[in-house]
Amino acid sequence: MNELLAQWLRLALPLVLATTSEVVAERAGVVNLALEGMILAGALAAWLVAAGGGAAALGPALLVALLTGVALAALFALLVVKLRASPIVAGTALHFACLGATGLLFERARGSAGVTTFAELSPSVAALPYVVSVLLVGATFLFLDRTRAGLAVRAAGESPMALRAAGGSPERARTLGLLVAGALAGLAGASLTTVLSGTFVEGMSAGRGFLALALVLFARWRPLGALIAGLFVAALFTLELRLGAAAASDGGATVFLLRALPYAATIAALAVTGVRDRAAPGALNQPLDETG
Amino acid sequence: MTNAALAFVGVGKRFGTRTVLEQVDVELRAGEIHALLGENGAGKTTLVRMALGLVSPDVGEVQIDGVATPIPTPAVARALGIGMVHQHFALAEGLTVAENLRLADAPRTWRRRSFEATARAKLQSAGLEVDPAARVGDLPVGMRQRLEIAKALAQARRVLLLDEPTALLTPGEATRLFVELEELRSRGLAIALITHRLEDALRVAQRITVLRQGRVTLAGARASVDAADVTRALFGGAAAAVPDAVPSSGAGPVRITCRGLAGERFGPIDLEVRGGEAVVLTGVDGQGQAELLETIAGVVRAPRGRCEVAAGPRAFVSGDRRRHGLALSLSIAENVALAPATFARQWFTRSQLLEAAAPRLARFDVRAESPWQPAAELSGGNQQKVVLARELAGAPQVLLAENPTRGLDLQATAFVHAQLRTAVESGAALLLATTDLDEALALATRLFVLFRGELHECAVSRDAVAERLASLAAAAAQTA
Amino acid sequence: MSFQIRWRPWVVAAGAIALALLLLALQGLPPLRAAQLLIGGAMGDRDAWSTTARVATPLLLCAAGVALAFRCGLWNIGAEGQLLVGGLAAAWAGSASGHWLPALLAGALAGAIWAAVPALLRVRRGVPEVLSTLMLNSIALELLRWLVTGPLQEPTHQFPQTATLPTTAWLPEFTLSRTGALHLGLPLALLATAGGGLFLARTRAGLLLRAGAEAPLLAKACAFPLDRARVVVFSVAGALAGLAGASDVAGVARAADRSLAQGLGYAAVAAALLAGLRFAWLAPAALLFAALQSGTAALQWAENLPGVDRFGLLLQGVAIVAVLVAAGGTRRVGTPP
Repeated sequence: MNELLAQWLRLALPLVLATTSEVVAERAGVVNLALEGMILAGALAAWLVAAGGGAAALGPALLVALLTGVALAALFALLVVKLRASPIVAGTALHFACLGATGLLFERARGSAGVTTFAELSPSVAALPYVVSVLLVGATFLFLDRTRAGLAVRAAGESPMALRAAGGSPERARTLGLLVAGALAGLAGASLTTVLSGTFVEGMSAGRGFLALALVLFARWRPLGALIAGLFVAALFTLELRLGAAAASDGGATVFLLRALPYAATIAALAVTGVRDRAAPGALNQPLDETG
Repeated sequence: MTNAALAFVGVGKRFGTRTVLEQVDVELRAGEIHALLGENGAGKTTLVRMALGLVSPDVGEVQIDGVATPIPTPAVARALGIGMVHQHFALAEGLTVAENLRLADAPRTWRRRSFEATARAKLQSAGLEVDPAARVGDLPVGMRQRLEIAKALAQARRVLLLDEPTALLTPGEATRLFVELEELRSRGLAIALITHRLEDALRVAQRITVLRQGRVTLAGARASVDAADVTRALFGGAAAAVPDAVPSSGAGPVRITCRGLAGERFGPIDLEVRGGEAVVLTGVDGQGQAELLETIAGVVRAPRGRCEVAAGPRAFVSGDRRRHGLALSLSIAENVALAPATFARQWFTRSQLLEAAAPRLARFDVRAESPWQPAAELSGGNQQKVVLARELAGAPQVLLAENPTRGLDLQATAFVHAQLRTAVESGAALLLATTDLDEALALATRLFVLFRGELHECAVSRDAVAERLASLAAAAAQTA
Repeated sequence: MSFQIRWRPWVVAAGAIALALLLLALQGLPPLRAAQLLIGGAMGDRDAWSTTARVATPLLLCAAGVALAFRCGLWNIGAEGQLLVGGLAAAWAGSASGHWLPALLAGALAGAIWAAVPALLRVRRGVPEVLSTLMLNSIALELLRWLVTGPLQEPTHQFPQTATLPTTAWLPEFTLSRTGALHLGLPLALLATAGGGLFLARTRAGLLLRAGAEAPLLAKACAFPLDRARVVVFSVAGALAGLAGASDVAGVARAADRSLAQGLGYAAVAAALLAGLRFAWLAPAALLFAALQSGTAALQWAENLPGVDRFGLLLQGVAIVAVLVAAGGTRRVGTPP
């Protein structure tokens, strides 16, 4: 039972972080299609720092992963906010660059470093990623909900015109939102290597970033919603792993159905709830212009 | 003479070759409501943008308390105490009331309760009974308007500019707004009411300035002008030589029938338009003409009533070029070829497309480097000509048009009028909505004044229309 | 949407690749030698050319589908999934019928069906197709994993792949060199590219679909059944991606296994974007990406640099970023999903 709970939490952590990241990006008015790539980059960065380093390296690994996400988000913001590129085009490009760069760097570094399994660490150290994540998600909630800068971020996603009329800068606010999203995405990546698998595997994010894009709709663009949506889908994944092991005998049909379930359920839910969710940021994906 | 809180002195502005303001003098005095009237494109918006530091004048100057004061940026405007109430409200609808107030004027606090308390105090002082935690998108429009004013007042210590503030309000809400403006005026604020609604200006203003095509055509104290003066100044004073109205070519078949047709912005309308006649709806902007025509054209569904349009080629020249008129990234030639009536081939070569488009573009005198240039690169007037080249070239039997000559020069306007006339004389039914009285008089077989979504039939004469508009506006100003 | 990409961005992209070669130099490989190996491996001789062309074939088919959908305002990120189901269907139909034609047709049909789902969801329920196609990509991958170990597994049940196709179900080939044969997929891809470009530029439906991408009400006012046309064009885009999968299975791999696709559908999105969604530039863009892939593979083999083949992916992303930077500020942003 305890093991089941632990597995659930391990699977939930990256999903919750990724969805929270996308919540922040979309509240700022930008869909982040590079999320998957940012997660991968964070995962690799954490592995590069932590591999072989044991308990002492865990903290720095998380920090470096987080900063990697921030750096990539800065590049994304440069393209989308400053150069007014389409978020879909820029996001796809950045995703690619990350996919390629992580594969390349991993292959080049693999020879030198051994594999570390963080699961061997003592429980108190192993809890660190959870603690950091809880703190960061909580801080994100407070940032969006309570601070003036967070309010500006939400206004930039809701009505850049209103923000500009009030003397703010939608450009600055959107960039800030993306940087926060990048930090969360980097940490989501770090949680893959340090919590879930203990090592890096090429393409290990396995579509979690893309899934998070859809989960944002169920999270209704709220950090708390991201927590619930992440936990729910992680429960589906846990179910799949547990039942999958038990049902391997029937040619795998059950396993397939279980694995496809989170994605199929997402599509079905999107189809049922329809589109025009009033919780959606009003200016989501609307490019900024001089007047608006 | 006292110094004005904000004055434009001899300002002029050109954008490219287009002159939008020429030698304009306007004084906004403390303790006065000053109505600034004019049609779309008359130059009101540019004037306001000058006060807000978004545009600077080419010639002339802006004075604050009699001192020439350049306003290079919005921050300077804010520091000078100039506040603005935007027509479509600069409010973030997904955020709460308190959050919107906080955007404009932030208390430094982490605690939601404390900034909601600040907001509550601010709302109470403004006399607004609204929950600070309510989502702005859920509030009725009138309440949003008042919130917008409360927000603007945080900045507007000297001058408050309101852009079409009654455009979205119900009559009751508008009345309440005017009471509030009166109260602010008596506290010594200089208020500019930018509007094209004559009745609003007559009701609340102490001073009226009318702009037409970038020039001041009327300026004076409210007491010294009447509705007829203002109407004349708005629509062009000197009775230009109006060509004869289109003669009715007798009773053609009924091509447009509306029975009890009603939408959000227009009342139940009964109307028949026969082939060979031109029915013109005139009146100021925002009386529901766009919605009415879109409904008849069938691009939006009517909530109530029914509407029948005869089968056959039809043309729809929308007043909203971006929504209905053009696909901006497509080339000019392709935009002309979109309508089945102008170009019916299912597949074609570039030269076939050009063959169909080029004569139409030439006939409508579209000036472009190449027919394969994206429509986005054209000037507004040329874009309008592309729309007309597409819609009018296919010998339509039903013609629906809203302000088809807006943005065109005199020659092009005369050409479009001739085209419309020819179409009507050869048996087409024309339903035209226009704010340009000259245009209405030049084309109408039958004429209606459209006022607040209702039709009032009227004789085809300048005096009759001016009289009707003035009396409707005066009546509305009194009853409301 | 209008993508105003002309020569300048390509120059920038070339500059970015030169920069990347410098990065390689930091790995201990002289830039000149790297460039020589890269270019030689991609198009140094006939063998290299045929390898590059073989990689470019499915890429071009998918990119044609992606560009077709994007130009009509449909953000189809689902080429990957459509390709996978196309490949699976071809593997099944090719084995069952023993001929390549049913294999191709089945692949195209499967891709079309896989794309019709997001199209219908968008038109009827307003579900953003970016999300639904991404989800369907994941489902298609799970489907592949299941089928190659389950119902479609080869008869000996030893390897995670479908049965090897009988030679009668192999695509007709024509040879350019001793080692590398080209298959029917390449002319099909070129045909699809030309067809897609002609459809958009030279037919009424194409014209109105493009108009509908930015002004839907205008297309409707022109008496055009926009929604139905969108479903059809989305399905055709899916069919092209399905065809890509089918031609890879029946023309190269001879069976479907887990190495099918592997990001090719996403690369096609990147190639289409690099081409500025213009059909005349699709083939060069696909060729460039394919050359990066075959060139870096050659580089890895020659210099024993593990992982260098991933360099291609990185460069694809870098190339688009470069294009965005070069076109920055001048470009109209596309219709959001």
